[in-house]
Amino acid sequence: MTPFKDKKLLLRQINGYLNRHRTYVAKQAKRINEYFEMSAYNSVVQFYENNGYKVEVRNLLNGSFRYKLSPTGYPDNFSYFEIRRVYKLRGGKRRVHRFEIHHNLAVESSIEKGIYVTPDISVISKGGIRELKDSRYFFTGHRAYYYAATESLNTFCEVKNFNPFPALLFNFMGLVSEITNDVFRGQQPTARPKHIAPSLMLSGNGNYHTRKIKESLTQRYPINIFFGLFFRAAQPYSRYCSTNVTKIGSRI
Amino acid sequence: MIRMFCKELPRTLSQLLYNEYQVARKGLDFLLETYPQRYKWVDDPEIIRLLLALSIFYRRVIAQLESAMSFSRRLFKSNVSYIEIGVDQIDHDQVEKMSKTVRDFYGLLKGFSISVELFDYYDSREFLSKVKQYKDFIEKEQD
Repeated sequence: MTPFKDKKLLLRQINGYLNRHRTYVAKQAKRINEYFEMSAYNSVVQFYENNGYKVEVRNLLNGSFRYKLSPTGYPDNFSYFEIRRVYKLRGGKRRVHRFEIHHNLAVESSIEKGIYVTPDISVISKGGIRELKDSRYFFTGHRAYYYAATESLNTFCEVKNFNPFPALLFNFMGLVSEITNDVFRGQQPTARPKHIAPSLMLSGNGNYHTRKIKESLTQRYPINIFFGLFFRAAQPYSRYCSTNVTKIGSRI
Repeated sequence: MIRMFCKELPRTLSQLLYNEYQVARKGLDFLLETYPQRYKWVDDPEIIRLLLALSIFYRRVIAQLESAMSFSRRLFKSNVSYIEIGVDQIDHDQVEKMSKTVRDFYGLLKGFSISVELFDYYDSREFLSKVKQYKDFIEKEQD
């Protein structure tokens, strides 16, 4: 069967498919845009798993994983992943490094204290969340503003369900400069264990121009820009192309 | 063509599908009208529009459901019973429904030897070039 010869049959089959699944798809409509961010979150966790880290889900609430949808809300009320990398040292000793992978957690600027921004995914050292009790920063009814201090932020990822365009790529560089200024200046940490470098994850594919911008930025800075994650979801964590993924060290 | 996909869907999603289709269709029609010689292999533009609508449905609905499935399955392996996203929940039952929706879609594509690679395009020009590759491929297969 080919659509070019059997157009009516294809139309009939599409209609049949839609009639069977329309109700379910309609029910999902409200959340459908958030699903891509979930997949990117999963990719980051998978990256760590494939790079020798042990992964555990933390802060389950009555057996459920509560996904943080927006920057508001206390991190304590949401679930996250804890990752652990163990090194065996001489003499049978072990060194354990622990980090947390959060979604929608505010992070302090690495240039100016008291300025915060919320990347989609952030990897922080364990226990790196700080509390700020200054009512000017939080919504009425909240008791505190929670953020990750610069020194505990190891890396972050920004996820966009878009096709790439130049301003989007350069906007990401603004984030890199603001929250990981050492990476922007080429003075990124080098200590083990390694993390995925600050990354921009886009669902859409690029054209010639945006691919050229991506190539230029990734050559100039230790960052990753992933295009077309709808179609090649494994790019950030695939073992086969792990050499294409830029890594940076830990802030210890 | 996109209307059949939008039927009975909530406005937020149907509007998204409709607008994206209209923008892409304008680009497609422009190319077909401006370069008839280059696209003389296009016998029936309606089929190209149907594939375009199918690609938009894949990108906006099926790929998203696949994303949710990959995340949910990881968590279910770690003894999580369900995922709370705001007031909504994803549980085993939901994932099974997602999986069926996705599986049936791939079954539909398979019946016509359509690969999702066809839907991986940046603009109308690239889409047309992929449809041409696909057409050449299935014609060769049938010879």
